[in-house]
Amino acid sequence: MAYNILLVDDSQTVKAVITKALIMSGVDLGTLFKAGNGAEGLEILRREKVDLVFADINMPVMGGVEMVEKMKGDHTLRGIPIVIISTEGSATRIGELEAMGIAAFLRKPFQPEDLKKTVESILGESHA
Amino acid sequence: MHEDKLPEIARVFCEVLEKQVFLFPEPLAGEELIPGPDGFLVGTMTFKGPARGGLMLALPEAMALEMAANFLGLEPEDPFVAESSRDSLGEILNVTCGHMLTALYGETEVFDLSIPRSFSLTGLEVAILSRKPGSMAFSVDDHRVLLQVSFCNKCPGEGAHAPK
Repeated sequence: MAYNILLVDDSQTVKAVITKALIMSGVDLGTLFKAGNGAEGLEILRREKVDLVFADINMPVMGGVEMVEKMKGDHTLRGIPIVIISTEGSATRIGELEAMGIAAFLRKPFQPEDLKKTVESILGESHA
Repeated sequence: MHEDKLPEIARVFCEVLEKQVFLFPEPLAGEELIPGPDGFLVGTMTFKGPARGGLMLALPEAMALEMAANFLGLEPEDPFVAESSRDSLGEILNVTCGHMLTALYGETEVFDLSIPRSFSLTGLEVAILSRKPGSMAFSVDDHRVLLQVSFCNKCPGEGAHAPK
Protein backbone atom coordinates (compact mmCIF):
# COMPACT_ATOMS: atom_id res chain seq x y z
CA MET A 1 0.00 0.00 0.00
CA ALA A 2 1.36 3.40 -0.97
CA TYR A 3 1.05 6.15 1.63
CA ASN A 4 0.37 9.80 0.87
CA ILE A 5 2.39 11.99 3.19
CA LEU A 6 2.19 15.73 3.87
CA LEU A 7 5.25 17.73 5.00
CA VAL A 8 4.48 21.07 6.63
CA ASP A 9 7.55 23.22 7.27
CA ASP A 10 8.60 26.71 6.18
CA SER A 11 12.17 25.52 5.62
CA GLN A 12 12.85 24.05 2.18
CA THR A 13 16.03 22.55 3.65
CA VAL A 14 14.08 20.61 6.27
CA LYS A 15 11.52 19.45 3.72
CA ALA A 16 14.35 18.19 1.48
CA VAL A 17 16.00 16.38 4.40
CA ILE A 18 12.73 14.73 5.48
CA THR A 19 12.00 13.74 1.88
CA LYS A 20 15.38 12.07 1.59
CA ALA A 21 14.95 10.34 4.96
CA LEU A 22 11.51 9.05 3.94
CA ILE A 23 12.90 7.63 0.69
CA MET A 24 15.80 6.03 2.61
CA SER A 25 13.38 4.56 5.14
CA GLY A 26 11.78 2.40 2.49
CA VAL A 27 8.27 3.76 3.04
CA ASP A 28 6.00 2.92 0.12
CA LEU A 29 5.45 6.54 -0.87
CA GLY A 30 2.42 7.52 -2.88
CA THR A 31 2.24 11.29 -3.23
CA LEU A 32 4.42 13.54 -1.12
CA PHE A 33 2.61 16.82 -0.54
CA LYS A 34 4.50 19.88 0.76
CA ALA A 35 3.25 23.01 2.51
CA GLY A 36 5.04 26.05 3.94
CA ASN A 37 2.76 26.63 6.92
CA GLY A 38 -0.24 25.23 8.77
CA ALA A 39 -2.81 27.09 6.67
CA GLU A 40 -1.39 25.69 3.43
CA GLY A 41 -1.25 22.28 5.07
CA LEU A 42 -4.94 22.41 6.00
CA GLU A 43 -5.85 23.37 2.44
CA ILE A 44 -4.07 20.29 1.13
CA LEU A 45 -5.62 18.07 3.81
CA ARG A 46 -9.14 19.22 2.84
CA ARG A 47 -8.45 18.55 -0.84
CA GLU A 48 -6.34 15.39 -0.87
CA LYS A 49 -6.26 12.00 0.79
CA VAL A 50 -3.33 12.08 3.24
CA ASP A 51 -2.23 9.16 5.44
CA LEU A 52 0.41 10.87 7.60
CA VAL A 53 1.43 14.46 8.40
CA PHE A 54 4.85 15.75 9.46
CA ALA A 55 4.69 19.31 10.79
CA ASP A 56 6.99 21.86 12.36
CA ILE A 57 5.80 24.08 15.26
CA ASN A 58 7.41 27.42 14.46
CA MET A 59 6.06 28.62 11.10
CA PRO A 60 4.71 31.90 9.70
CA VAL A 61 0.97 32.46 9.09
CA MET A 62 -0.11 29.39 11.04
CA GLY A 63 2.15 27.34 13.30
CA GLY A 64 2.04 23.63 13.99
CA VAL A 65 0.15 23.86 17.30
CA GLU A 66 -2.74 25.76 15.69
CA MET A 67 -2.76 23.36 12.75
CA VAL A 68 -3.02 20.38 15.13
CA GLU A 69 -5.88 22.13 16.99
CA LYS A 70 -7.76 22.70 13.74
CA MET A 71 -7.18 19.14 12.55
CA LYS A 72 -8.43 17.70 15.84
CA GLY A 73 -11.48 19.96 15.64
CA ASP A 74 -12.38 18.72 12.17
CA HIS A 75 -14.00 15.29 12.16
CA THR A 76 -12.73 14.60 8.63
CA LEU A 77 -9.10 15.27 9.62
CA ARG A 78 -8.83 14.26 13.26
CA GLY A 79 -7.93 10.64 12.48
CA ILE A 80 -4.86 11.47 10.40
CA PRO A 81 -1.69 10.77 12.42
CA ILE A 82 0.52 13.83 12.99
CA VAL A 83 4.24 13.75 13.73
CA ILE A 84 5.66 17.01 15.05
CA ILE A 85 9.29 17.61 14.06
CA SER A 86 10.66 20.60 15.90
CA THR A 87 13.57 22.12 17.73
CA GLU A 88 11.18 22.47 20.68
CA GLY A 89 12.64 21.00 23.86
CA SER A 90 9.97 21.93 26.36
CA ALA A 91 8.44 18.83 27.91
CA THR A 92 5.52 21.05 28.88
CA ARG A 93 4.71 21.94 25.28
CA ILE A 94 5.39 18.41 24.03
CA GLY A 95 3.01 17.13 26.70
CA GLU A 96 0.36 19.60 25.53
CA LEU A 97 0.75 18.38 21.96
CA GLU A 98 0.53 14.76 23.07
CA ALA A 99 -2.63 15.58 25.01
CA MET A 100 -4.03 17.09 21.81
CA GLY A 101 -3.47 13.74 20.12
CA ILE A 102 -0.28 13.90 18.07
CA ALA A 103 1.07 10.48 17.15
CA ALA A 104 4.74 11.26 17.80
CA PHE A 105 7.31 13.97 18.39
CA LEU A 106 10.79 14.11 16.85
CA ARG A 107 13.28 16.69 18.01
CA LYS A 108 15.63 18.34 15.54
CA PRO A 109 18.28 17.44 14.69
CA PHE A 110 17.02 13.93 14.04
CA GLN A 111 18.64 10.98 12.32
CA PRO A 112 17.00 9.20 9.34
CA GLU A 113 16.78 6.09 11.53
CA ASP A 114 14.65 8.01 14.08
CA LEU A 115 12.22 8.99 11.34
CA LYS A 116 12.11 5.41 10.01
CA LYS A 117 11.27 4.03 13.47
CA THR A 118 8.57 6.66 13.93
CA VAL A 119 6.95 5.90 10.58
CA GLU A 120 7.08 2.16 11.31
CA SER A 121 5.47 2.63 14.69
CA ILE A 122 2.59 4.60 13.16
CA LEU A 123 1.99 2.93 9.81
CA GLY A 124 3.20 -0.51 10.81
CA GLU A 125 6.40 -2.26 9.80
CA SER A 126 4.86 -3.97 6.78
CA HIS A 127 5.45 -0.91 4.61
CA ALA A 128 9.25 -1.15 4.79
CA MET B 1 24.41 40.42 29.52
CA HIS B 2 24.69 37.08 31.25
CA GLU B 3 28.33 36.31 30.48
CA ASP B 4 28.18 33.19 32.61
CA LYS B 5 25.82 31.61 30.06
CA LEU B 6 28.18 31.93 27.13
CA PRO B 7 30.20 28.71 27.61
CA GLU B 8 27.00 26.64 27.67
CA ILE B 9 25.67 28.45 24.59
CA ALA B 10 28.97 27.82 22.80
CA ARG B 11 28.78 24.14 23.72
CA VAL B 12 25.24 23.86 22.33
CA PHE B 13 26.21 25.65 19.09
CA CYS B 14 29.21 23.35 18.54
CA GLU B 15 27.06 20.27 19.19
CA VAL B 16 24.37 21.40 16.73
CA LEU B 17 26.90 22.08 13.98
CA GLU B 18 28.61 18.74 14.57
CA LYS B 19 25.41 16.72 14.58
CA GLN B 20 23.48 18.54 11.87
CA VAL B 21 26.08 19.54 9.31
CA PHE B 22 29.27 17.69 10.32
CA LEU B 23 31.26 20.86 10.95
CA PHE B 24 33.48 21.20 14.01
CA PRO B 25 33.75 24.73 15.42
CA GLU B 26 36.55 25.71 17.77
CA PRO B 27 35.95 28.67 20.09
CA LEU B 28 38.36 31.57 19.55
CA ALA B 29 39.70 34.04 22.07
CA GLY B 30 38.40 37.63 22.03
CA GLU B 31 41.32 39.09 20.09
CA GLU B 32 40.57 36.76 17.21
CA LEU B 33 37.01 37.97 16.73
CA ILE B 34 37.73 40.12 13.67
CA PRO B 35 36.60 38.31 10.53
CA GLY B 36 38.26 38.56 7.12
CA PRO B 37 37.12 40.62 4.14
CA ASP B 38 34.64 38.07 2.76
CA GLY B 39 30.93 38.75 2.52
CA PHE B 40 28.84 37.26 5.32
CA LEU B 41 25.41 35.75 5.59
CA VAL B 42 23.71 36.69 8.83
CA GLY B 43 20.75 35.01 10.49
CA THR B 44 18.81 36.47 13.42
CA MET B 45 15.89 35.34 15.55
CA THR B 46 14.33 36.17 18.90
CA PHE B 47 12.87 34.15 21.76
CA LYS B 48 10.22 35.02 24.30
CA GLY B 49 9.21 33.23 27.47
CA PRO B 50 10.62 33.20 31.01
CA ALA B 51 13.50 35.14 29.41
CA ARG B 52 13.58 37.22 26.25
CA GLY B 53 16.36 37.91 23.84
CA GLY B 54 17.87 37.24 20.48
CA LEU B 55 20.44 35.13 18.71
CA MET B 56 22.53 36.09 15.69
CA LEU B 57 24.81 33.91 13.59
CA ALA B 58 27.15 35.38 10.98
CA LEU B 59 29.24 33.21 8.72
CA PRO B 60 31.14 33.70 5.44
CA GLU B 61 29.11 33.02 2.31
CA ALA B 62 31.49 30.23 1.29
CA MET B 63 30.90 28.48 4.60
CA ALA B 64 27.13 28.97 4.26
CA LEU B 65 27.33 27.01 0.99
CA GLU B 66 29.38 24.26 2.62
CA MET B 67 26.93 24.10 5.52
CA ALA B 68 23.91 23.90 3.21
CA ALA B 69 25.60 21.18 1.13
CA ASN B 70 26.29 19.11 4.24
CA PHE B 71 22.77 19.71 5.54
CA LEU B 72 21.21 18.51 2.29
CA GLY B 73 23.74 15.78 1.52
CA LEU B 74 24.49 17.39 -1.87
CA GLU B 75 27.61 18.64 -3.62
CA PRO B 76 28.30 22.36 -3.04
CA GLU B 77 27.99 22.93 -6.81
CA ASP B 78 24.40 21.70 -6.86
CA PRO B 79 22.13 24.67 -7.71
CA PHE B 80 19.75 23.75 -4.88
CA VAL B 81 22.58 24.28 -2.37
CA ALA B 82 23.06 27.94 -3.32
CA GLU B 83 19.31 28.41 -3.34
CA SER B 84 19.08 26.94 0.17
CA SER B 85 22.04 28.57 1.92
CA ARG B 86 19.98 31.28 3.68
CA ASP B 87 17.30 28.79 4.61
CA SER B 88 19.89 26.36 6.01
CA LEU B 89 21.44 29.15 8.06
CA GLY B 90 18.02 29.96 9.50
CA GLU B 91 17.42 26.34 10.36
CA ILE B 92 20.78 25.98 12.12
CA LEU B 93 19.99 29.12 14.09
CA ASN B 94 16.52 27.78 14.93
CA VAL B 95 17.89 24.45 16.19
CA THR B 96 20.66 26.20 18.15
CA CYS B 97 18.13 28.53 19.77
CA GLY B 98 15.79 25.70 20.78
CA HIS B 99 18.57 23.61 22.30
CA MET B 100 20.16 26.65 23.95
CA LEU B 101 16.92 27.49 25.75
CA THR B 102 16.49 23.92 26.99
CA ALA B 103 20.11 23.86 28.18
CA LEU B 104 19.75 27.16 30.04
CA TYR B 105 16.20 26.97 31.39
CA GLY B 106 15.33 23.28 31.51
CA GLU B 107 12.53 21.26 29.93
CA THR B 108 9.54 22.69 31.79
CA GLU B 109 9.74 26.25 30.50
CA VAL B 110 7.93 27.18 27.29
CA PHE B 111 9.40 29.67 24.83
CA ASP B 112 8.03 31.15 21.64
CA LEU B 113 10.61 31.53 18.90
CA SER B 114 10.41 34.00 16.03
CA ILE B 115 10.89 33.00 12.41
CA PRO B 116 14.60 33.35 11.51
CA ARG B 117 15.52 36.22 9.19
CA SER B 118 18.63 36.39 7.04
CA PHE B 119 20.56 39.15 5.28
CA SER B 120 24.06 39.96 4.01
CA LEU B 121 26.79 42.02 5.68
CA THR B 122 30.39 42.85 4.87
CA GLY B 123 33.28 41.50 6.93
CA LEU B 124 33.83 44.98 8.34
CA GLU B 125 30.22 45.22 9.50
CA VAL B 126 30.49 41.81 11.18
CA ALA B 127 33.73 42.92 12.83
CA ILE B 128 31.93 45.93 14.30
CA LEU B 129 29.07 43.75 15.50
CA SER B 130 31.52 41.36 17.14
CA ARG B 131 32.50 44.06 19.65
CA LYS B 132 29.10 43.90 21.28
CA PRO B 133 28.65 41.96 24.55
CA GLY B 134 27.48 38.41 24.10
CA SER B 135 29.69 37.78 21.08
CA MET B 136 31.46 34.48 20.58
CA ALA B 137 33.83 33.75 17.73
CA PHE B 138 34.59 30.33 16.33
CA SER B 139 36.94 28.87 13.78
CA VAL B 140 35.35 26.35 11.44
CA ASP B 141 37.96 24.95 9.04
CA ASP B 142 39.41 28.16 7.59
CA HIS B 143 36.34 30.26 8.30
CA ARG B 144 35.57 32.72 11.10
CA VAL B 145 32.07 32.56 12.55
CA LEU B 146 30.33 34.95 14.91
CA LEU B 147 27.55 33.86 17.26
CA GLN B 148 25.95 36.58 19.35
CA VAL B 149 23.32 36.26 22.04
CA SER B 150 21.48 39.03 23.85
CA PHE B 151 19.11 38.84 26.79
CA CYS B 152 16.54 41.45 27.66
CA ASN B 153 17.27 42.41 31.26
CA LYS B 154 13.89 43.96 31.91
CA CYS B 155 11.82 40.97 30.85
CA PRO B 156 9.13 40.19 33.38
CA GLY B 157 9.84 36.96 35.16
CA GLU B 158 13.41 36.44 34.01
CA GLY B 159 14.77 36.84 37.50
CA ALA B 160 12.32 34.25 38.77
CA HIS B 161 13.67 31.65 36.36
CA ALA B 162 17.40 31.65 36.84
CA PRO B 163 19.25 29.43 34.39
CA LYS B 164 20.32 26.08 35.73
